[in-house]
Amino acid sequence: MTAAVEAGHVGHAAGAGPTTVPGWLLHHAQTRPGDVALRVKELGRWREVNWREHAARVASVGRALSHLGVASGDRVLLVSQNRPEWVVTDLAVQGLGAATVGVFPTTPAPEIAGLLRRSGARLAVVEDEEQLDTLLDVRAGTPLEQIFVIDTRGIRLLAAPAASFEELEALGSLDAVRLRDGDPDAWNAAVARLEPAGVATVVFTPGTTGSPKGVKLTNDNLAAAADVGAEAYGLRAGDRILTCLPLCEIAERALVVAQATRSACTVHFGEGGDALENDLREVEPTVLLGAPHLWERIRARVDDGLRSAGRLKRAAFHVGVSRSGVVGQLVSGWLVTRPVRRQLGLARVRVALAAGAPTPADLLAWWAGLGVMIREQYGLTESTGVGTVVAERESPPGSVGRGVPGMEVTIDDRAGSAHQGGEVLLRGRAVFVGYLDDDAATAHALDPAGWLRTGDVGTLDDDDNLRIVDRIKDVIVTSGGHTVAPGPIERRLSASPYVSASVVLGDGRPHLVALLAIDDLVVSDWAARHGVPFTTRQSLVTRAEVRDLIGDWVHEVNGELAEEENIRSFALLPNELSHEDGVLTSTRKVRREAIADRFAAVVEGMFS
Amino acid sequence: MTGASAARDGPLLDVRDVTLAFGGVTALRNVSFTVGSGELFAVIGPNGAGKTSIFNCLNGVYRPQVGSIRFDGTELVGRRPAAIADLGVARTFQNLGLFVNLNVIENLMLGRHVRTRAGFVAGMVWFGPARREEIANRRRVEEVIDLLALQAVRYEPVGSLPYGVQKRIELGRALAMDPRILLLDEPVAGMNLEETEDMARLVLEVRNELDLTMILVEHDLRMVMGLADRLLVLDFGEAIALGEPAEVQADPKVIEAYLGHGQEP
Repeated sequence: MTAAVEAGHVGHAAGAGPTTVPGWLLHHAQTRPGDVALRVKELGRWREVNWREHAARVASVGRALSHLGVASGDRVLLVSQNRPEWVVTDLAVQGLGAATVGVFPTTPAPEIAGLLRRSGARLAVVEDEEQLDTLLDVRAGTPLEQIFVIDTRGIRLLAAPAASFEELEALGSLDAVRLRDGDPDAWNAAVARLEPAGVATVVFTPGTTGSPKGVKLTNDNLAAAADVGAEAYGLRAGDRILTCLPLCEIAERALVVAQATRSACTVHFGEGGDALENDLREVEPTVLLGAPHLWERIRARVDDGLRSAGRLKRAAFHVGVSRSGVVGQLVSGWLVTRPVRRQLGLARVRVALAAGAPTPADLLAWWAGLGVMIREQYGLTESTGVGTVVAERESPPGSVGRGVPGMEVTIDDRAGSAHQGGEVLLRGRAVFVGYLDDDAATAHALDPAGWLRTGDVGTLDDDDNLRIVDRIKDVIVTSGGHTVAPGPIERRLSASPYVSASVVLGDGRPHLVALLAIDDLVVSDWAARHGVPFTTRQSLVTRAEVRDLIGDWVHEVNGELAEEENIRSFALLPNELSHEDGVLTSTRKVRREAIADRFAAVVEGMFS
Repeated sequence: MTGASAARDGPLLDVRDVTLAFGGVTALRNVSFTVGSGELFAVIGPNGAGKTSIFNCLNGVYRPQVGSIRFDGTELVGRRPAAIADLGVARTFQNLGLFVNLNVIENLMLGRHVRTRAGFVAGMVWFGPARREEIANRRRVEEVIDLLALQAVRYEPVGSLPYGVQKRIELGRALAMDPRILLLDEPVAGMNLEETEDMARLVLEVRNELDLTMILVEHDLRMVMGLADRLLVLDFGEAIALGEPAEVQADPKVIEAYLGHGQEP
């Protein structure tokens, strides 16, 4: 491994650290070989992987891929949930100057076929039998030649074009390489030769409209995002990160692959799913990146627990969280919030981030009461997930903070078709180089001066704090000529525990209407407590009592809104929204057009 | 993916002319069937048709007056339930048979007990083979937890968990025995549609990953039709049809048995 380690140094700029993410991996393998890079929960126990072992595994996979012909400019498809092999494969591919294309395991088969054709990937790494079957089904007519399966359980026969990930690693092991007279340093040498402008990954953005666009991110984009972790979020060596969001989402990818590797943090792969709460307690992360729905879920658990707790505990909790008065201030820290934080596994969280969607203000306030300062961040896939972040205590509520170091933020008033603010523009090292095979879209998104048009409407205050209002294309102009941003109204409507999602419509119409999805669990619980009979969700949404319950809430929200923003009519959706149905994106954002289409008759009914 | 393995040399289980009577009531009359290795075989029929009686004969709780039951060449009739379990016959119960005050791991470890060889004293001193065995058992239990996605409830007392999860734990305890054949007694009884679908998926996954021979007793016809390779239909203790789901479904006698007796309770 000596030669391997030396090669890591070639990527250094004079005096500074490595300039690429794989370069940082090799750097840590040499400078802190025994420190823990990853912890993985397997069969109930945490297994540790140190930086030397981590780098060795990445290099093995890198050598194997290189042997199979993957080279600079190629693309490798990666279909898996979060697991160590995700990061290993990603870094191995990047090190070769090739690009990883991460795909959500829930992506429908025809969409995967499209991604295979568009990315030109000849090789894919998939998690298990299910994804293997999908790829085998859609392979015809795509360039795909080889598939490696990480978890081979349940597969009777693994034959060409498929093989196990283990075989891939064996193919790249030093023994195997020497046996075929290969170059044991092939991968490390490739890392040293990496071009800053080389494409390191293509991230297909789900896009709430149209087909997904392939965002090309370079080695330098990822390195820039990696630096943001150290410079803006304050990540330190040895920080404990628990991965909770899918690695296909750019914010998580930036944290787990780029920032954690750059800052030598320890990434934990827990059991996930329902076991997330256990994982949190066991890991006690110091850094936690969540989407609003994740923070909401943990809050809901606490609220559930409170409902079954005694009256005294409940009262103490509310006094503690509100931090009201002298008593509240005194008891809150030691008697209430600290024990609750410890119980949740959040006692040591130093950096708490929220990304992916706007976080409701009441949720931020609730967590702040508990002593967890969630910092909202704002970034697009096109800006490698970084852009602005809330500073620890200074940022005004409702803002997403100031631009991170190396990122300029400005507002383009010309695009201000909305009544508030203009289009948010970003410029910096982390801003992407263009879309895959789509020059028109690239030209539209990137202006000649290098500014990225985000498609978001926002405002900057005197201290350069950014506030996001809505997506430009979602802004509604009613037939009466009023301009309304639906986003804030939808977020307000969804703030009710009974409402899981909402879509406000009314472009070119005399007034606004809303389609609301109810939260099955909460509403059925409510119905049970109030003696409202029901059998299924369909029967639940047709109950007059449930309609009244939601109606009261809509009425309450209307009271806070300007008259032209009032919801005049609403309908309850009969089924839960899902990615498989095509009405949610893979990141669980609502596709408004798809919903408006699906429920066109209902919408017409509300306008007539 | 289909029951191709059923073609392996001879049936794993061979039930011949089994008749079981309690006093004047005949619970089973001349029932015969075979189950091939790796096959998912179902026994269906209206309530009281004798489905559970078959299971009780298979695992030695009841002793049929007539007939033979051979498991991999060994005669089961006349053996005690514990001896039959030792041969690798595991079952789950229609009404859960879990220890509600113990947690999930403890319940699953009980399933390993049948595989434990170390004696009582050796077990107490946590040394040598007993220790190794305990560690191996614990590992096997974790594999089952992983397979059935029970990670989140590992340390929860079983009694505090929802019914659907308890059913999964029951399946888990049977799997922890490393059975050669698994008898599932109405795994979806009392479940709603979603829980039923989850359980059906799990049964398929278990079968796929462990290549396990299974016999499923069920009166939910839709569940069985989608899962089983072959099935036996019982009515008042008699076999009225035996074959693949499609043939059985079209059999007039089966339609009569299911629809001719009015509403299912």
